[in-house]
Amino acid sequence: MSEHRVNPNLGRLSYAQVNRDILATLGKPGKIYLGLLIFCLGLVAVGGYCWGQIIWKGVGVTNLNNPVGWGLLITTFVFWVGIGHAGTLISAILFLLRVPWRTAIFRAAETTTIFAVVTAGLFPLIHLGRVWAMYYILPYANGRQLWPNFRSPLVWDVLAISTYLTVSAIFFFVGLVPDIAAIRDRSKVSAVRWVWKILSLGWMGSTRQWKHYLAAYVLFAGLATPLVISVHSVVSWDFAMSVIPGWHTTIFAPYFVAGAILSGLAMVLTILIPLRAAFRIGHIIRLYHLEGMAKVLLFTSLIVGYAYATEFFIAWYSGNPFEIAIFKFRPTGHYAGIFWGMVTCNVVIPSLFFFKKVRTSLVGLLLVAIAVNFGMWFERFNIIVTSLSHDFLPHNWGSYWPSPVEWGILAGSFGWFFLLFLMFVKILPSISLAEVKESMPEGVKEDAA
Amino acid sequence: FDVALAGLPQLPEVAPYVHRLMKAANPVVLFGGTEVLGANATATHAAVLLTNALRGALGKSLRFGEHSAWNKVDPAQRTFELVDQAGSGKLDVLLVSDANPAYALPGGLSAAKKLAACQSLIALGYEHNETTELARVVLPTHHPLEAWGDYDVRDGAVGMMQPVRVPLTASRHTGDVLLDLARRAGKQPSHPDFRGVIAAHWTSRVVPDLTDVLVKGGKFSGPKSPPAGSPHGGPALVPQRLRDLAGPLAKIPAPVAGAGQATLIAPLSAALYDGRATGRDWLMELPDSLIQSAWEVPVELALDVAASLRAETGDRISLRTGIGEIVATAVIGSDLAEGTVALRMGGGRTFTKEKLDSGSVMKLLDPVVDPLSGELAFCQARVSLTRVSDGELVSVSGGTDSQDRFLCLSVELEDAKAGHFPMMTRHGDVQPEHGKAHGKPLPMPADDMAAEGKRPDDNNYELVKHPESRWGMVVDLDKCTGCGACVVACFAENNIPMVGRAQVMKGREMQWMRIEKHVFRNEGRQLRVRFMPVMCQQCAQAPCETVCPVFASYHTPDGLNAQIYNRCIGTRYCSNNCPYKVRRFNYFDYERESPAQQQLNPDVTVRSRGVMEKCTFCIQRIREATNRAKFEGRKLRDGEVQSACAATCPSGAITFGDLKLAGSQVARLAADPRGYRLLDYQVNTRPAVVYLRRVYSGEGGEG
Repeated sequence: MSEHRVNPNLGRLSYAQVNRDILATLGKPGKIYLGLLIFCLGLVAVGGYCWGQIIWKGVGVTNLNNPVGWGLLITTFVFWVGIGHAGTLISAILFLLRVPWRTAIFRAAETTTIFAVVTAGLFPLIHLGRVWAMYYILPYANGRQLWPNFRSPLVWDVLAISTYLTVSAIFFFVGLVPDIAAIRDRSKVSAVRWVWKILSLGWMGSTRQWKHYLAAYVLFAGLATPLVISVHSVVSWDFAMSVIPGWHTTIFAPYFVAGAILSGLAMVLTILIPLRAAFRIGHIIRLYHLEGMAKVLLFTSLIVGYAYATEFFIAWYSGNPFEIAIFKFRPTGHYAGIFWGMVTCNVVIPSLFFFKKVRTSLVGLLLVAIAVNFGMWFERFNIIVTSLSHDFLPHNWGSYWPSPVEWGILAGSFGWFFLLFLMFVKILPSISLAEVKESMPEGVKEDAA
Repeated sequence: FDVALAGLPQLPEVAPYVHRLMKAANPVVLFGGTEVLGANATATHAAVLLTNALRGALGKSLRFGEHSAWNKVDPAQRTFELVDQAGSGKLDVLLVSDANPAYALPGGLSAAKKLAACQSLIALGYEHNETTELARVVLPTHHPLEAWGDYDVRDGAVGMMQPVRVPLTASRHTGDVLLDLARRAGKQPSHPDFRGVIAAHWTSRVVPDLTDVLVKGGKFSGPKSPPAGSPHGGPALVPQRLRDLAGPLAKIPAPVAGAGQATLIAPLSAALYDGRATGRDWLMELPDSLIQSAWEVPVELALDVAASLRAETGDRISLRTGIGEIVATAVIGSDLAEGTVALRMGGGRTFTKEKLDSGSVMKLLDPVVDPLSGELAFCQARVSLTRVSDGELVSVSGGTDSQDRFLCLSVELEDAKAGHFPMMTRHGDVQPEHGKAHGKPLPMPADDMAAEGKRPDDNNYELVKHPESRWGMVVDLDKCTGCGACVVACFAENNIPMVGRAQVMKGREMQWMRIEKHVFRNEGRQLRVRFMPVMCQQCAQAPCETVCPVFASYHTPDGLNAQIYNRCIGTRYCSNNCPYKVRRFNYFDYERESPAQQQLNPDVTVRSRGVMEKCTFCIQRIREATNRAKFEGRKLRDGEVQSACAATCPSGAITFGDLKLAGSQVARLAADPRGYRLLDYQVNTRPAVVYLRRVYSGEGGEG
């Protein structure tokens, strides 16, 4: 692509080396890989069993009650939707902004997005009282002319998330086409080669194809960009459109989007750092890339911290006794541990990235990223559960803590996500061959194989 | 009287009450319940009666009822003697019918041991209990709902009981059993069965044909006219007899004394009475309004007692008197007087499906009687208390402090008389300027929504219109006693599943309406407890309706927030978004053990797991009545439809009807200046339920 995208840090590599190193990740899996795969399968089995309990016995196997009708499941839904943000952000927005450190990491980030959204999409189904009737929520044509209630934020949710998943998946696939062609060219088994042939859509790498390809890529990047903003805004409206103190607030859309990007970046870091060690691709995904992400993570963490402070200010400024009560309850009440865990993990710990030493140390990067993963889960739990447990009438106040079945589903969702990811890294290149090559300086291209 | 007062010792606690009693225009002093009745019960009543007589309340604010069935009952003293005789083997045969002396009598009597010693104890009854367990012969008899019978309502009115269903099991009527016994003894009764006895009794005495009695609703006027001299149909109190009352006063025994940290009070339980209803699911799951606890008979500890024990709500407490020791679950009762503990009757039953954690208070009592009446002295003992272990109480209340949220409101009688009503605004309950009334009256749900005028934040959605009628309810907080009969009526009418102790503990009770307890302290720092029944408020701008993705929650043209059970997919969003939290989710399929399914109301759906359910003002009754009116080609009359709660409320606190029907009772009451709508001004929900403020007199505002 254009000159300014040339990445000086890839200077010492050749095209052949890039092909070899990246495609080597698709080689025969080792024992550790298989072990991880089986572990993830086990977690998925646990999660599936727990979901089965909800279906056969009822939602009562969770600890949900009156007044807390949403708990761990919706918390984890928002958590995964949030994680599904960094991918498209890194990929589309940074592409449009021509940010140089994007190339090495965007494939892994996009994959995170798709698998996170696929995981998140399960939760609204899991939490339903009657999942077998879930199709009532879809706007399908039927003889009774019964439509869903388009005023309900849950219907908006269905539409926003399915749109986001569709566009992200197409964007992901378009980016993969040249790489699939490279795999096709290397594969020897004819049946497998045939599959790659279809998926590569006849890619030959001609100038004409590149011209159309780039136009399509820019188009999809442009389409995906507003969706990054819209999807989490819509998810935030599940809460903001309600009347419940602590939910009913206009700040939620930007606050949730910032939080989503924060959590998404943290998850991409959490995945990339072990990945580059495992596949020995530290020379392609360099500290330079990781530091770039750390800076954006720090920036979004500051936005999130500001949003926390603003919520308290507005609660006080509104003079609304219900609003004031819930913001007194959060830091001092029954769930104070969750609240302070959230502040520590999302604001205090990420501010360590102000120090270059921390954001250029692999251990520092990984630990902060893991802390943010926890913190963002705490944030959603804090918003959802505290508000429901202490709403308008003190008589109704109650408390909630997840049951083993709910924890099992949470574990299962991680198993499911990483299972998909593990399968992905052995099937498709987790780093874009084409774009890494593109961003290499001119001189080295000469010794391309 | 003032002179007499001057001679009395100065009692600072009593002084303000005496002052108010002397000042009031129509004073009345009320009698206490079992909780104040010790061995001096008769004397206490005499003193109260005398005070009322001296302040001229007799026949005015206080009037006497007609003779009660209680007058015909032997005092407890007689029962105690009978049990003693059984224990000493003096009785050949003892017949116990529909009673449970082995459980219900004071522990000091050792009734179970004595009855077990009786050679032929024969128990008749419709359920297995502690006494049938001891009996040589147990004869199952009809439940009252299966039996013919009769009863005295009051002098001049007697009623017939007829069975409402065929007997569930192979039981017999107690009367038939006795008739058979007579036959075996060689006597030939005049009638083949007990129904014949009853029919013959009533037909010969009052009317020629039994059918006549039943056609009249099973009830008819007796021959007796009210005694002369009593305007209310009750006996007149002859002034000369007042002198007799002075007698008992001279014999007031000393107050309860003895070892132990606290005085034990043994009140009757509101739902379980003396324990005879313990184990019945509806009454077990009905929370006691004062304690806000279900499936338990906890011991209430006064604040100072709890502090000295370092006990918290839910702890297991051991109570010991000279008679016995039991363990009960504690609840800190801020409503109790210093140095007292209260344990309601009803705990410690053995033959119930679900066992309670708390024992029976009767085990702590001696058969001490009031010498004047021969009745058991309920307040007789001091108890020693020890904290045994941690535990958990099934509490249904998240808090009784309204947190200045303007939820359960009151008004001063003087202000109300002068027309100075506080007005609900978005900032709460605003009192009028001193000596002035508010200029603009409150808009009421009886008015058309559009006519209510728009507030600035009213423009999100089109206002809901109710073209013909809007069903509404008025709840008079001044009349509500918190008895909970409405809640149980709702159970029965709407097929509400009982979820059991563990699920109530988790906060999953399915009750569509509840009695909230609110505790206030007035300016004199006196405690004031108020009860507030809360059911679905049937908002015109309902938060639940907009959020349901599948239209399971929708608004009917006559103003109900209806719920389509088979459309619901169970997102629970409606419940989350309900400011009143009156929606209930079916977390499980709750089983109805046979034969409980025979109780189900055929007009109401039985909901399955995964579905949200709620109060719809008994929509099945509304639809039945509107259809009937339509078939008969007429308009629905006011009062023709009653919700189950309104029909059941013994004090008439709940009024139901059409707010848009001109002149309807509910519309009239909704326009009462005492009226306000719960959370309406805070959340803008426009409920169809209007609460009427509790009225207090001469106490000042709330501090």
